[in-house]
Amino acid sequence: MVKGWPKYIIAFLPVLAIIAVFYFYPLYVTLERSMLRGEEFIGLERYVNFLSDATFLHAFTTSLRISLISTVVSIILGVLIALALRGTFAGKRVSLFLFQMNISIPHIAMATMVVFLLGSVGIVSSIAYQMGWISNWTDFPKMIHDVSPFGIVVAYSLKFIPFIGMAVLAVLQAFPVEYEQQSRSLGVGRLRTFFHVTLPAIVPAIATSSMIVFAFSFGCYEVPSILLHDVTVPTLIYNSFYDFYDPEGRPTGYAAAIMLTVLMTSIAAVYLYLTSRGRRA
Amino acid sequence: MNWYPRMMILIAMAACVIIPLTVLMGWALSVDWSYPDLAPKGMSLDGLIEYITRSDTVRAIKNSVMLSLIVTAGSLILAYMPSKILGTRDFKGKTFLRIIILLPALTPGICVVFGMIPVFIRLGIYRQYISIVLAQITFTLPYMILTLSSVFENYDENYERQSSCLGVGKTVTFVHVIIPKLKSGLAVGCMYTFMVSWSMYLLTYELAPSNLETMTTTIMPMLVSSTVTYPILAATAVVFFLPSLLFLIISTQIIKSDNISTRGGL
Repeated sequence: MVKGWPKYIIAFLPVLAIIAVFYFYPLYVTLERSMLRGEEFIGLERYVNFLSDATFLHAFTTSLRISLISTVVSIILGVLIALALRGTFAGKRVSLFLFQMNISIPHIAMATMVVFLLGSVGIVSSIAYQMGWISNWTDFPKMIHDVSPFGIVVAYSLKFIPFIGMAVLAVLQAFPVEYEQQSRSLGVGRLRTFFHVTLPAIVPAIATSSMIVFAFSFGCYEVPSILLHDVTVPTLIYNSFYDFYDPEGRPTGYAAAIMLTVLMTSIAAVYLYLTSRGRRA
Repeated sequence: MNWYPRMMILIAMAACVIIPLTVLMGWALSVDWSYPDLAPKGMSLDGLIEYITRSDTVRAIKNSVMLSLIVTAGSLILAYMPSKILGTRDFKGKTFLRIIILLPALTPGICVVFGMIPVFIRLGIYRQYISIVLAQITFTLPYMILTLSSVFENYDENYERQSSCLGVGKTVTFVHVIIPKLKSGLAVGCMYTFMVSWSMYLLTYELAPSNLETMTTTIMPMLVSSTVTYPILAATAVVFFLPSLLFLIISTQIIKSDNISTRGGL
């Protein structure tokens, strides 16, 4: 790679200008408005108020719970499927294609599929009726449009299992099988071999991909508004922005937006630190 | 892994992918599917075709395609030189520059969109076509630059030098040397950017002219208020995710034939 400052560094100007005007400036406006009451500067007052605001804390824990469950489920199943896809076997290309397919499906389309799957008149409910487990669609437990995060976790997992799985598989394909064979021939059990030989090799891939998954599921507005009958941080921001009756509505929304930005960018900072360390190694 | 657990896992995986898709396709093609039947009474393409050829659907598809194409082209033009520099040069502050460029992709749209509204109002372009194009480009640029810069990392600038040594002009070099070398990487980057723009709802809804119906602003109200019938909703969803399936098929072909990596820093 050529070292030294490139001649055409000026080519970055349009890109940086766009990011400055349409990313940083809006964030600055958001920050400014979150700290003003009318004309009066109130500093971090709204941020401090969040700590005792029941609605915000509820939204925060809801978002956190959904993201954590989706991430953990996606890691476990993603790694398991990646292990199954490792090596060569008949039908690998078909399996790989099917496995990757959900990554490219937009999250709104994914949420739509979950409506048809888990809705009260969805296919699972029909199967339950046919099996005689329920006598009417009203008996079917509410999985979407409900406070229970089940449907939304399914939607996220369907999209993120392959995302984490493919990242892990990329490492596994390059990881020599001999290490594990050695460990097995020395009499170490399957599980211990996995935890002591295989897992350390794939931890960086899991860490980086699951961080993206966590951040995305925490900050996504559309999927919770389709599948959840509860408030998450993104829906809280949206609702408070359109709360025309409360003069504190919009500024509070702005403050929540800044909180979410700080949270997401710190996750991103950890992610970038981890990947840059991995690259140097 | 032994063949038995492997087979079970893969069959379960395939079922989890195929069943939701089949149910959705079933609803889109269904003729009279009522609860609690496990399959529709009949299947026909008529409903789907009737829906797709409706004037408002055609308009939404056209608007979405146009918008995403403009955003993709804009991102490509803006991202080309920066990606080339990031991919082929090493200089002080490169990591910092990369992080700045990445930031919009790492921040949820909802954090920025309500700050964008006052900015667009101040610029006098709120809810005009240009505002939604600029807003989407802000969020698609990181994806384009990431993909293209990793393409450029495997690119040898000496071809360009050779070409200019032989007295070939800049434009001809670009068309006959650079483009053929990069075409599959460019294609993957463009398709990726197209998909990101294609599936943006919040930005489009908040910033686009209110009469601009796109695929996302058509499907979201259907889902949130559930005012439409299941077959219409399914048909909309099918039209909505069809480009992504096409994208996947084409890009796996390209990646297989070219052996390029699209997983830049993300």
